[in-house]
Amino acid sequence: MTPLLGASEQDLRILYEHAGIGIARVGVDGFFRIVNPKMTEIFGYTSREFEKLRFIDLTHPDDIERTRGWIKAGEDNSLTTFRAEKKYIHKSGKTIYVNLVVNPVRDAFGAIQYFVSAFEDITDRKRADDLLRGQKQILELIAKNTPLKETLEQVAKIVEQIGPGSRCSVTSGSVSIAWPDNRAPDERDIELAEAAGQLAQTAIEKAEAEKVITEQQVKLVSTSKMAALGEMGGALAHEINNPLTVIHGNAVLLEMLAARNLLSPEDVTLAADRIKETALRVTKIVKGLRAFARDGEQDPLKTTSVREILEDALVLCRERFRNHGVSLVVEPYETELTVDCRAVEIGQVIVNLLSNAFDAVQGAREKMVKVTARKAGSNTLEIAIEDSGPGIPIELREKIMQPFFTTKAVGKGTGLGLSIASGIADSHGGTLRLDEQASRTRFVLTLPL
Amino acid sequence: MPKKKTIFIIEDEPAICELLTRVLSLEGYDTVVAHNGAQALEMLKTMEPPSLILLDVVMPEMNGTEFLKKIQADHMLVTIPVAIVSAYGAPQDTPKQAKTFIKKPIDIDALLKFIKEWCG
Repeated sequence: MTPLLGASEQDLRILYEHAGIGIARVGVDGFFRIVNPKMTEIFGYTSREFEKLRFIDLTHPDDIERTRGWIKAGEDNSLTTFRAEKKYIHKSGKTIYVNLVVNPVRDAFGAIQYFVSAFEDITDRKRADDLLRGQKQILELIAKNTPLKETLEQVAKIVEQIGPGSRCSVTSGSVSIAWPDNRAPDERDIELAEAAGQLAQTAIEKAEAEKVITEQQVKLVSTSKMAALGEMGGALAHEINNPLTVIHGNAVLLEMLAARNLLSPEDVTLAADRIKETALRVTKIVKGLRAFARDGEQDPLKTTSVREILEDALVLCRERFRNHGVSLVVEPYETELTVDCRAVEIGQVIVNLLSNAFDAVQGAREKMVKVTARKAGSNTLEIAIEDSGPGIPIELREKIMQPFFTTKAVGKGTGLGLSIASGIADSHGGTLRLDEQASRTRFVLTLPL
Repeated sequence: MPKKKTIFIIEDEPAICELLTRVLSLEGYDTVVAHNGAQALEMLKTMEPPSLILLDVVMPEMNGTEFLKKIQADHMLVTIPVAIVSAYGAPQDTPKQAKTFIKKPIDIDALLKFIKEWCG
């Protein structure tokens, strides 16, 4: 310290007594020799108590090792001025954080006589920083939809880190913190508890909101299915009433023949054949319908004929296409193909793609939807649905797979079809994509064989 | 022997055409079958006007409603009684030419009763 010209000893004393940092003279033996008033404030000890304390006695256990190194350097005279951030223990037992600057003072021969140490109490700032970091960490967890229990556990962990020695538990109902030695919480502790409470509250609210959203999504998925079923409903009436006419009519025919004594074995065989094959057709329609309405997510992967999947899906759509003058072309494919899949789900994907294609060609001059199925390479099945509609504008192509994106009128589409379909493809280790190379709108579903 | 009455069946479902043909022939009618409106119009150009038309509504190429519109414009064909047969509800705004609506699944007895009424 270089006194300003003319500064009296009194002036220097004022500096020493009123400095905002703790200043101490520490002997080579580590004992405090002189401490300024700020030191007693920072550490809680009186100057008389300080006389019996060594530098290391106040050091936090975490920093003992480091401090021993400095002491050794002091003993062998190699210690130079250094700065460090260090933890100490306050007389009350609380941890305090200090910015430390140590200057060795040497005699004419260069031997260290004592140290002048400056202590800046940074506990509040440090705690504020830690709290801020902790809050940020929790908010990140919340944003990432971390399970609530995990987030609350992390809140407790952060409280325990910031308030050393404290035991904290956070549940969705309460935050409880026990301070070491059952001491009463001070202002900082209360601030910490309040921050923890707020974080827990935020996490709980977000989790509740997420729950509501999930429930709504589940409801929407089912609504979109029901909407698709509704659209098919009318067509299905036709599809089922035609076969019923055949079944009923053949029975009536048999009665008529019998009443006139005209019944021949050939008549019986023909009518029975018609009834049987037609009943089978109804069975197929019902099966397709059931498959569509069911949630197949839990089904195990099963080796299924591609033909069966396609036929089940097509039977649901054929009528609607025909009624609206949309030609549905199924290109010949290898009928022996099989694929390991959850057939119900894949059927739903195909019905969804067909339904989109159907919508796309409304208003187009040529109304055509083409279905192809083929082996692409040695281990991939490729099912493609192509339509003669106006195509998907380039700027929308990235969005079509996103949930809730729809170009359909309000109430017409939920915007979930393609996103669900794409999720189903993913869960099979396959893909669902728009073929960018094709000149027409062509969706390609691939499944591993 | 009096000349048999001809019923013109316009229906795209082969099994229904077959059934109606067999039932009606058993009842002493002749039948002619077309699988859609366009084909039926084509056939009507050359055949003798039938006594009655059984007309399905939902058919490819030309559906029943369109077919009905076409024959309204033809003074020869507009006189033929038509029975509309459909799985859906009765079509709206049907011309007077449509004498009845038969809902699928078809009640054969009711159908025969209607045919007898109009053709004897």
